[in-house]
Amino acid sequence: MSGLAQALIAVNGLTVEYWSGGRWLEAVSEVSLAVAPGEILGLAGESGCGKSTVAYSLLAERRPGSRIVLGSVFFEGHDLLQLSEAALCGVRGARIGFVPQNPAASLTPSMTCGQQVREVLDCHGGSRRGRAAIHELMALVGLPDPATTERKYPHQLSGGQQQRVVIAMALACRPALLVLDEPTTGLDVTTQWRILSLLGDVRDRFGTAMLYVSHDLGALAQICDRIAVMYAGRIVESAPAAALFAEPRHPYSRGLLASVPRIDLPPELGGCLRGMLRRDELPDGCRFAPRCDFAEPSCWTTAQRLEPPDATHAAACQRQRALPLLAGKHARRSRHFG
Amino acid sequence: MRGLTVVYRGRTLWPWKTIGRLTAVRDLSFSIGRGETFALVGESGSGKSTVARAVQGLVRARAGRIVFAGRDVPSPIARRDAAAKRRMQIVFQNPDASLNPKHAVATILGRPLAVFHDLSGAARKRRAGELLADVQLEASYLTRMPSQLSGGERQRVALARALAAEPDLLLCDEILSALDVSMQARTIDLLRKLQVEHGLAYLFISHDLAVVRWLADRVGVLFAGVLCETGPAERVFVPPYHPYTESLLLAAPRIAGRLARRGPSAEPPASGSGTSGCPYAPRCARRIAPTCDVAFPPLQEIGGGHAIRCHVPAAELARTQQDLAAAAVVAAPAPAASGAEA
Repeated sequence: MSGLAQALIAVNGLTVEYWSGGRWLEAVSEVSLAVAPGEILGLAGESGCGKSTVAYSLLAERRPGSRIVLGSVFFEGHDLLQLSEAALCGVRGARIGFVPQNPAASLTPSMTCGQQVREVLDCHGGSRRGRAAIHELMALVGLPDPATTERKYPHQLSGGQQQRVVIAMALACRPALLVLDEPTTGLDVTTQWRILSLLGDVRDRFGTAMLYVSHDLGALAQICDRIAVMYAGRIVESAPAAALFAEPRHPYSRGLLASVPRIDLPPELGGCLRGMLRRDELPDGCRFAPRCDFAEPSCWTTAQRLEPPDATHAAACQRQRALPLLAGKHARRSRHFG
Repeated sequence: MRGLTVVYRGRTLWPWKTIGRLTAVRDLSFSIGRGETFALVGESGSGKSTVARAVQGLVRARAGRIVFAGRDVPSPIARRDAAAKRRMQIVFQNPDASLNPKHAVATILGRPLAVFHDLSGAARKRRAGELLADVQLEASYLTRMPSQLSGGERQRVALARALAAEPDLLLCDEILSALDVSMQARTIDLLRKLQVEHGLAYLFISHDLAVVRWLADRVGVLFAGVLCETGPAERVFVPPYHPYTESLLLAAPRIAGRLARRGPSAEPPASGSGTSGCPYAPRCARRIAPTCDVAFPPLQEIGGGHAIRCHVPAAELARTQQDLAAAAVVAAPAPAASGAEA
């Protein structure tokens, strides 16, 4: 984990519950992470792992039916979770920008794109307003011909262009941090490439840090400096991007990587993750144990912590050192039956 | 499918949208052999869903023939006979939209069993259970409603429903896009297993080249309604590539490497821009002016069933292109010519 002292935003021990079926269930359990200035941190995991909940918590967003039970989110000297709504308004949009999933649903269909960008500038922009500022933003995100585009309604733009408008709105006030929730899901590979390129340029030019939430490991591989992998509400591995892909230490990370189709290699046999996350059947110890090919009896009862603590590459698995050897034996066994 | 042309007549709900005719797919021809997987690759707006719907008969073709098992099949599905309808089934991208939320799984599977095989009562229930087992779901799922299933499970039910008819050809329209990566991997395994067990042929529509690479026997690359390249998978993924295929391979995410520096240069055109020349010309890094802008490119047969529709001679493409699929990391070539970025 990057040192908390230099972090731009530091989440500590975040625990979030949501109301389901007549009781409170934990969606996020004791999650701690930090994003350094200018760093792009990826938050990876499948649907239901809690990564979107973590992303919204960075904005101190209290979603209906959920409650933040524990934890702090320190940003620019304040714990955002303790601030009033009025104070938070000054942070959201201005200092922390948000790019949600599904741009078509995030843009107001009855306002032109120019009007929506203007709205953000008016609310948070301070001195930078007016048509020139809007055009500058649109050009920044690579939208063609700002004078024409600003008069268009969202439905007249392609998915990629809509997402660029949303990014323009998120960047309007030059925030220090951008939180992105699955920004390229549903977009074509070529559009995705362009959006990721744009985000990389934004970081290079303005030093904007980013928390990039996605289940798409391919997208994360292309842009993130570091990646944290979540499973069932917990972070199970945290590493520099290259290290995670070269040497995944947690069995879940291994399984996830093995599931990603590679254009240069045929799919592995026996690499797939088996079973499903069942939130109602989680053991007290390691939550991944029911699906783990390498679990031993104590895994079910022993709570796992990220180890080594405070290292740049850490995994919450007591068997991580034995894993490479075990994985090799397992692969050979699968090939016999596969 | 020979010379398939589909024209969409645009209808408007909002006054500021244009009313007009869009040629969604033009003069498309390809064939799928028994038990074979043919993948149709393209971006959104390329017309690939239109092709699936046209083959299934949900969209009317303006010109062309669909020949199935040696016999011409009428374009609209309503005019097809029961056997033709049974032997060709479709699975859609979004299982939420294609499964009736008010029907339990047993009802969803029961319908094709009743319609195509005249099954009822205990026999129908037993067969439904067998279908679920085929897609690796337990029989207890019969009583569940779609809202009680995960995305991957719903997609499996949609597959089971298609299989209930015992088709020869399954049209899969982006069936993996709505799924998590681990569920995608398991669904791909399932498709392979079903193909072996039932001798199914697939028209597999996808924008994910990594999946297509290893799943397809043959591949067609579609851009703005025109098939720019077709051929066996092992040939399409090595040079010579159509320039559009080349840009897709450059843009494809790679686990090992960072973003390739030279990617696609401009926004895809709206479908049916109506040019007489090559639809890819405005974006093409290898464009030959003015030929590519005014003349529809010829089909070059390269051998082994591999064809590229391009004005640039295949030999020159082969000479100047790098093998992109084999590279785990794409080397950074010269920066892109600045295209109309959108």
